[in-house]
Amino acid sequence: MDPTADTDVADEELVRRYQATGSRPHLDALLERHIGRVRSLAYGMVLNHSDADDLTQEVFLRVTKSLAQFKGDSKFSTWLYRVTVNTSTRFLERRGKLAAEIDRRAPEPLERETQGPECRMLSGETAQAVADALATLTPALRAAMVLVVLDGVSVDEAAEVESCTASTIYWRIHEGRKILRQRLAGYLTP
Amino acid sequence: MNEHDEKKIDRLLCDWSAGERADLQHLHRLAERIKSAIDAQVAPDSQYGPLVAPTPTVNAGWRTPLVCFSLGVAATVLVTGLGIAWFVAREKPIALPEPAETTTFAQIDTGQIHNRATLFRELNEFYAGNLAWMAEVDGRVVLRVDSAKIGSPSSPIQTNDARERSVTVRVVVIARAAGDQRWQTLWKADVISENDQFVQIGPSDGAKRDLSLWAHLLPDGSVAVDTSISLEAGNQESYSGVQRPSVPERILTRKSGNIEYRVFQTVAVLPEKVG
Repeated sequence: MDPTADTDVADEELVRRYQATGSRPHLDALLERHIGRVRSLAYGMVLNHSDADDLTQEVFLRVTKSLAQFKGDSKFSTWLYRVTVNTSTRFLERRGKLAAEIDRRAPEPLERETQGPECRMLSGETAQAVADALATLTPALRAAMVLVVLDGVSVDEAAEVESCTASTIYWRIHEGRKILRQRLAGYLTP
Repeated sequence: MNEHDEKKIDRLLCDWSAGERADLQHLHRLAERIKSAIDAQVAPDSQYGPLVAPTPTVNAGWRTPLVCFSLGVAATVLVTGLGIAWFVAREKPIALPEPAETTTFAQIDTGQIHNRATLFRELNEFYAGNLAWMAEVDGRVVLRVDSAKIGSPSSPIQTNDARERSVTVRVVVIARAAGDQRWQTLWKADVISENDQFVQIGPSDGAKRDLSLWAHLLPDGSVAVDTSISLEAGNQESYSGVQRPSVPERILTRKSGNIEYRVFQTVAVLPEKVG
């Protein structure tokens, strides 16, 4: 049976089965379920498509290595996001990008997913301005914004991911919005 | 920042994120690449066996001596631990908190909170609901009446109730000279404002120092505060953080020349709605 087809099986059950049997299809199912969000989160953090792909791979390799030790103290997705945020932050530190500008190479053209009616495509200039503004946020503020505002993770789960209190997440979101509003004042629709 | 602004920011981010999202083909190719990398990482034999080692079984004949041994080790550890704790307790001098850490001078008690709520509500009524904030500083009372109050109090992460609440903030600066054990209260300001209101006090208000602060009530009852204060002329110090109501906190410590400064701040939420 292809475990990826069984969407009713909880992540934690797939983890348990993988721990018990070492069977790859269970691991692949987890990968295919979460690759989109992990990559999206990584991209929100590092703002470069190629780096986001590499980080997504690094995250899943780390997770595969550590899966035997996963005890289910938190949700699998929470743990996965924590690994993603930590891996991305370490990457930023390695590259010395914390306080400096994000090294944004020429934006790679990426095939776009068909958008829902609620989202409109931004012009290249606006998209660049948003990325530039996000790049000015510290990794902690950026992670809070990406997790809660963009990925729709609850404040409580984001607090668990970031190992801080919900108040701190609220505060980071507020600060992030404040900075972005200043930087993007010219791009906000009246 | 008002709710409308926040929605606009979130909308812009949502549009940006949707445009940057990798499509399904890209994710499929990436997934295949990751699977290959996992293949290279995972040892062949681990693919066909459990990853979690089974619980080791202990031969019954060994069990009793093993338990006795474990209890013996535990007892030894306990006795050693108690001995170390006793030694440390005897040898380590008891650290007395410095006078500055006695934060009672920065506290706002329940009676004061109630009085401030009443005072602010009544003055606000007197000024037809246009009282933005009031402060007592350097023996003067400063009122700011503004028909177009700065900073509209609204946010998607706060409740309607929070928007109608007011807060009071006490800022106390203490200082001591090098070699002096005694701290002296140098300056104190008491501010009452609506939630989310930007407050700015300076020499033009008769204050000896520049102080600006902004308090934002969070849904869990804690308060986010931005404070900026001049400890010396031309030297503005800032603090940003989340505080629990009615709990004084040391927010800044600075040393300038032979003067050491500490700034304490207490924030409290006023209980009644300001009409």
